[in-house]
Amino acid sequence: MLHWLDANFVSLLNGVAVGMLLFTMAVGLSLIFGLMDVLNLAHGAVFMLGSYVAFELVDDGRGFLPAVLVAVVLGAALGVVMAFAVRPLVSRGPLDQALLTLGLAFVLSNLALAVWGTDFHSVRPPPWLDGSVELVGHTYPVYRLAIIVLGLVLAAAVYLVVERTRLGAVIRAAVVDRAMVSALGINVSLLLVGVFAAGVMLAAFGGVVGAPVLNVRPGLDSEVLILALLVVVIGGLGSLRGAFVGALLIGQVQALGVALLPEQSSFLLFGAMALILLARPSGLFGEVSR
Amino acid sequence: MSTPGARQAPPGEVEASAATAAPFGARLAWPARAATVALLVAAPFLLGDFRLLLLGDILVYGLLAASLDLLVGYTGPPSLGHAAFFGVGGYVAALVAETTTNGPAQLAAAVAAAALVALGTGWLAVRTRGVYLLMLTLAFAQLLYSLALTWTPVTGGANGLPLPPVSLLPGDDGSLLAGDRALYWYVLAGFLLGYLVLRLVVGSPFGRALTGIRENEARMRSLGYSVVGCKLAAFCIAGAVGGLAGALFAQHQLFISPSNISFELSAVSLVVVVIGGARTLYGPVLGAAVFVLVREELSSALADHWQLGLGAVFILVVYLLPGGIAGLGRRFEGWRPGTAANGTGPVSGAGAPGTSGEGEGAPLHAAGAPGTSGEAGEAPVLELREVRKHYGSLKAVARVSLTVRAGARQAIIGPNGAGKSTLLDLVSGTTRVSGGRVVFHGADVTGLAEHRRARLGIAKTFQRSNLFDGLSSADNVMIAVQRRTGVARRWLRPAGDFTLVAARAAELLELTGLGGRAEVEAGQLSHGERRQLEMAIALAGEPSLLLLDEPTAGMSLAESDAFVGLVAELPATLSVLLIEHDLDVVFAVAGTITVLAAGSVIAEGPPAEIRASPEVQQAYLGAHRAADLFERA
Repeated sequence: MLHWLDANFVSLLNGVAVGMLLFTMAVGLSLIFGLMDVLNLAHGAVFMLGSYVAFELVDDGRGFLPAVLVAVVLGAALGVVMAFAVRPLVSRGPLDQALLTLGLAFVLSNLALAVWGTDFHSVRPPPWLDGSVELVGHTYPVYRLAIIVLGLVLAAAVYLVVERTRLGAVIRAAVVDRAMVSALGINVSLLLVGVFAAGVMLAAFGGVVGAPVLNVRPGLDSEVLILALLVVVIGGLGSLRGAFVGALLIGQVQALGVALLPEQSSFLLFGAMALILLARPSGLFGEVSR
Repeated sequence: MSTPGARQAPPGEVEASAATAAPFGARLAWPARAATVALLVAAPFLLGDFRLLLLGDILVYGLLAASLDLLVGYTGPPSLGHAAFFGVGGYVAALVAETTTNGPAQLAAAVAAAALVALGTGWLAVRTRGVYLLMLTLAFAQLLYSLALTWTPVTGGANGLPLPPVSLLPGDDGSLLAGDRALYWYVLAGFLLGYLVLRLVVGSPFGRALTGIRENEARMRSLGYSVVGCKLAAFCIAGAVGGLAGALFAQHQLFISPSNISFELSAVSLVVVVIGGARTLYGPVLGAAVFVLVREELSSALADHWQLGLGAVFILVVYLLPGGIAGLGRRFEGWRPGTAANGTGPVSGAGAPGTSGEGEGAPLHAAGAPGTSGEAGEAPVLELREVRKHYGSLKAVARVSLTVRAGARQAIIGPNGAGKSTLLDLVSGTTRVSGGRVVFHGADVTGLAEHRRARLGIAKTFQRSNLFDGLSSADNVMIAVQRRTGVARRWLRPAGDFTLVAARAAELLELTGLGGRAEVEAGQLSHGERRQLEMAIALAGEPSLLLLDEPTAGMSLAESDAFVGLVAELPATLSVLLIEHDLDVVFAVAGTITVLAAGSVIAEGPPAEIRASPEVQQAYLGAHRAADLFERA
C-alpha cells in the first residue's frame, strides 16, 4: 500500500489539483441549479474563455494577476448577462432554460474558435510560482501545489460564506423555498443575479488558474463541462459538500486513470458515476426528492 | 380513418372516438402528407446531384431528431446522449458490411444492436430523473464515444470505418443501388419506414400513455402504469430508430467515424428538435433541414464558424418560437394541440356541477340514506394490521388496524395532522409502511409497488387535484380506461381505433357531470370540475376499493351536494374509504366512521355512535365546542 502510494504520489497530487479546478466549476453549477433549477451548460465555455484570457495576457509568466482580474470581471459580467437571459424563460421550465444556456455555450465556444483558431496554446505559470519542490522524495511543480492550496482556501471561503454568514443563510433558505424568502422581504431576484454572477465568475477564475496546467484549446469547454457535471451529479446537485467530495473523487479517477489505465480512463469516470447513481440516485449528498 | 375499428364500435360512438383522437400528434392533413411524400420521391428529378446529397443528409438527421422527439416531446425525459444510438447503428452497419453488402440486412443488425444498447442504457437511466437522467445518457454516450475512439482494431479508431456500397437483394452485385438517385430512394425508404413507426407509436394508446407520463408521472403510477416500463420501452423504440438513422447515414456517406457518436452530435440533435418544434415529429425533420442548410450555406461564407450562426438561430428560436418552426405554422392557424377549436366553449360557472345526482338544488344529504351494507358479515376487502409509518421520531401513523368490508362506505375523520392522508398513502402504496401489513382481498400487498396495487383494484383520488393538465378531460379518462381494458400496450395501432375506450370514457364523464367538457384541457377546468374529473379517472380503473382524499375540499355547496349524489349512485359492490373534513358530507355518505387522532384510532362505529362519543368530541373538536358543531350535522 505504502509502496503504491509512493509510486503514484505525483498522480495522486495531480488528481487533487484537477479536483480543485473542477471544484471552481462545480460550486457555481451546483449553486445556480440549487437556487434557480437552471443547469448552466455555458459554464464550460466560460472556463475556456478564462483560459484564453490567460493566454492573451500572460506573457512568459508576467501579467498573471491582471489576467485573473480581467477574467473575474468578464466572468461576473457574463454571469449577469446569463441571469437576465434565462429570466424570460423561467415560466417555461428548466429544460428551456438549459437549452438556452446550451445555445449560449455554442455561441461562446464558436466565438473563441473564430478569435483564437484551432491551435493548442500553453501558458506559463507566474515566475514566483514557477519551478518545483522536493516533496517526500518526489519533485513536484510549485504551481500545482498552489492550485491545491488555492482550491482548499476557496472551499473554506465558500463554506464560511454559505454556512456562517447572513447572506449564506438567505441563500440556503432560498434553495429550499424561494417564494418564502421573497415573502420575508428579501430581494430574491437580486440574490439570484448575484449568485449567478458569482458562480460564473468562479468558472472564469478557474479557467485562468487552470490555463498553465491545461492546454488552452477548442473543445476544452465541453471537456471541463462534462467533468464538472459528473462532479455535481455524483456529489448531489445543490450540495456544496457534494461538489467538494465529487470534485476530489473525479479528480482522482481522472488523474489515476490517465496514469494507470490511459485507454480506459473515460470508462472509469463514467463507470464510477453509473455505480454511484445506481446506489444513490440523487448523488452522494443530494436530497432524495430531487 | 376509423373504419378499421368500426366493427367493434357500438353504433354512434365512432364519431366521438375520431374527435377525441385528433389532439394526438399534430397531424398534417392527408393531402399535405401525400404531397410531401410525392415531392420527396420526385426530388431526384428536381434537384441537382449536390442538393440531392444534402436532402439525403436532411432525411438521416431528421430521422435521428424525430426519434429524439419521442423522448423530448412525448415521454418527457430528454436524452443528452442520443448520438450513441446513431453511432452504434452506423458502426454495426459498417461491421456487418464486412460480411455482406446487403443493405437491409445491415439495417436490421444495426437496429437490433441500437435497441439492445438502448435497453442497457435505459434500464439504468429511466430509474433516475431530471438532470441525473441527462447525465446518465450523456455518460453512456461518452463511454461509447471513447470505445469507438480507442478500440482501433474493430472501430478503426479516430479514422473510423469505410463501407462498401450497399446492395439491395441477395443476388444483387450492387447495380440496383448504383447511382445517387437509387441510393437516395433507398435512404428515403428507410426514412419513411422509421418515421412511420414513430408516427404510429405516437398515435397509439401506448403513445397516449407516454404523454400521460410526461404530464404527471405520479398519477400514472396510481393508475396502475409501470412508469419505468413505459419509459424503457420508449427509450428502446427511440434508440432503435436512432440506430436506423445512423446505419442509413453510414450507407449514404460510405463512412462512419467517432464524430458521428460525439457529444456534439447529441447536442446538435437536441438543438434541431427545439428549432423544428418538439412534440410534432415532423418539426424536428424541418429542424434538421435548417441545420444542414445553415451548415452548408454558412460553411462557405464563415468557414468553420457556421456553428456560430446555428447557435444564434437556436437562441432566437428558444426565445421567440417556443414551439419551434412547427409551432410557427400552428400559430398562424390559431391552433394548438390540446386546445382544439371548441376550447373556448361555455365555461360553466361556479356551482354548476353538471347533470349527475338526482336533481339540482335538492338536498341530497337527506336523500342519500347512508349505506348500511358493509357491516359485519361481508368479506373484508382491505385489512390494515398494525400499520405504522414513522418519519424519524415522528409517528405519523402509529399501529392502526382497520377493516373495510365489501360495499362499505367508510370515512376517516380526525383533526389536522392526525395521519389521515398518510394512512391512505400507505394503503395505495404511494408511501411504504414502516411496519405492519396491508392485506387486500386476503392477499398481503405490503411489498407491492403502487402501480401493482392499482392493478389489483385500488384507486385513489388526491387531496390536491392530480391530473394530466395539458390533456383534454377525455384524454385524462381514456388514459385510465385503456389501462383497465388492457389496450395500453398497443403501440402501433391508432388510439382512435379503440372506440370502446372512448365510449367508456364518455360514459364516465357523463356520470361525473363532465359530459359537456370532454374536449377542455384539464388545466382549464374549474376547481370543482377538476375534482369531478379526479373521480372519473379513479372510477375508470373499475376498482373494488376507492380511496378518496378530501374529495370535496374547496367545492361549493352545490358541488359537494352533487358529489354526495354521485357516491350514492356508485355500485354497491364498490368499497369506499374516504377522508373528509366536511362532517355534513361524512354523515351523509358514511356507514362507518373511524376517528384518527395523533396517528391512532380512537373510535370506530356507525355515525350515531361517533356523534355521541365524548372521547371523540374531546380529541377531535375540543370538548366545549363539540356540541355546537355536531348540531349542524
